Amino acid sequence: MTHSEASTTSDRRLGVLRGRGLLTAFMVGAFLWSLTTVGWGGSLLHPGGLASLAEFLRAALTPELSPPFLRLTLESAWTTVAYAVAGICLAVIMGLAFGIPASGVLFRSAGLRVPAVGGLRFTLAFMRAIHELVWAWFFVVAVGLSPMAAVMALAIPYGGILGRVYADILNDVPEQPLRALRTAGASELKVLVYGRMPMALPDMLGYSFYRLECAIRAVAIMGFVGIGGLGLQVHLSLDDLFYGEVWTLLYAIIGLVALVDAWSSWVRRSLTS
Amino acid sequence: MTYADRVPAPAVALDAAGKSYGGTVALAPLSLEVARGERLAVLGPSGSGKTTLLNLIGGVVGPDTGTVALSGRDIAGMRPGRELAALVGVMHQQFDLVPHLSVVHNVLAGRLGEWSLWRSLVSLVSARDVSLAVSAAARVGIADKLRERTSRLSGGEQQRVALARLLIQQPGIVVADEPVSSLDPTRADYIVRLLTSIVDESGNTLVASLHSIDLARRYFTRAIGLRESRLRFDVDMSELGDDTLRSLYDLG
Repeated sequence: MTHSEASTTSDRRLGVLRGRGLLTAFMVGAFLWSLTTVGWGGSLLHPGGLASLAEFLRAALTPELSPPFLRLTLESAWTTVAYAVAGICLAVIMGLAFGIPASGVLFRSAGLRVPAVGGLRFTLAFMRAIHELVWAWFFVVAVGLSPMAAVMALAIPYGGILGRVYADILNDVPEQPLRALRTAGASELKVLVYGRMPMALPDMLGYSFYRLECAIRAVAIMGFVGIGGLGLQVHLSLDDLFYGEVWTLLYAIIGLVALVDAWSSWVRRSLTS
Repeated sequence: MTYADRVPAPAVALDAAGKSYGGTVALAPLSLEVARGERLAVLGPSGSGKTTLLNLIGGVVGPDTGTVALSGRDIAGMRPGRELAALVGVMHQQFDLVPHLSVVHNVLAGRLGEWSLWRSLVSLVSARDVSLAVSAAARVGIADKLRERTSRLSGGEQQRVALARLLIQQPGIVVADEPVSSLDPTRADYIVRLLTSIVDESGNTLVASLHSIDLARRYFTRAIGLRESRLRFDVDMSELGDDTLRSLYDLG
């Protein structure tokens, strides 16, 4: 590198740093400005709000534990888990089907890779751009309140997210072992199964489990458009102001998420050790 | 029959082969022939173009100018796969194995050029050609490690896994890029001895870059020196003098 080249590179770096500084100043300014737009005059809570909030929080200590309601909670929890797992399974299949080609690793010629990867990435972006709640509303309108609606509403946006993330993980795998496989005579497809997939698997699995956690919360939210499960019960109990019941159901959701979390770290540990 | 058909082609023939990366010359056009059965040590300071030269011979990258021919065949446009894998095998100093797979699969990866896709897939579930893997592993002294996860092995053991993979691949030419620079002298000596004995048995050709002049003198028949992307000398190992070496590595 000659001296003049070196100085232009460092000039460019300085320029980038200055740009970053400006951006940071802008963001901090925007945040400070947003604070001034909040009405701090004490009208943040409506008059009865504080009392309702206290009542709701007190109910946390006295959840509804009658046997019939516990039974209902258990059944709803089962429905939620079933929808979430079915949705994620379908999303994983869609994620693999779209994500592996979208990573572009199987295409040798750029002439094919660029349009194919572009098209696939766009499809994935479309799938996940629309929120699962909107898909749920759409499917409820289209096919009614069937399990199908819940599973599809979850599978499409989550398939879009998983496909995108799988593609990125497959692209970020260290290159040296792949190069070694190629020199040992492996085709790109064999490099995928012998190199990329084994190296990407722990991350892909970990992320899929995290998405299962999200799916449980998402299915719960879908209760608000009428899809069964814990969310629908939360919705009904809230309408009736039965805060004890709401808390029982919330504890069930927290329990499920914690269980999935424990399961996922157990699987990850057994994979990496 | 023409003259060219009767005289065996050299194992490696570079004709004015050069390589640049983004305007930086990694290797100035260089012509070089390596005869079958020769053991060529590539010497030179860091950044002198050794890795680029070895990558060109190994078919890992293609030259920008000139040609690279292995056993008389131009490898330009030859896809990585069975054909190239039978001609040349490459070993790097580290990061060369898939750490998440068990040792047996990394060893058997030497068969990927030969295997059909279906057989390769089946082998991941239930290893194929296990007897090959077992004998190769025994040959390099890791027979007891075959079922272990590769990432659990030490650096020296991983090096032997890479050797076992080469044994299974059985290429005509072996290219090794600083195969032992991360090992202590005793282990480095052991690995290079293993490498040369494996190469010798099949009458094959070895091209390796080394930082250790000792190892080069002990196990190789010929040496070339690279400095600033150019060939500085090309001598029989017995003629490699200390003055030549000093000028190759000289900091001035």
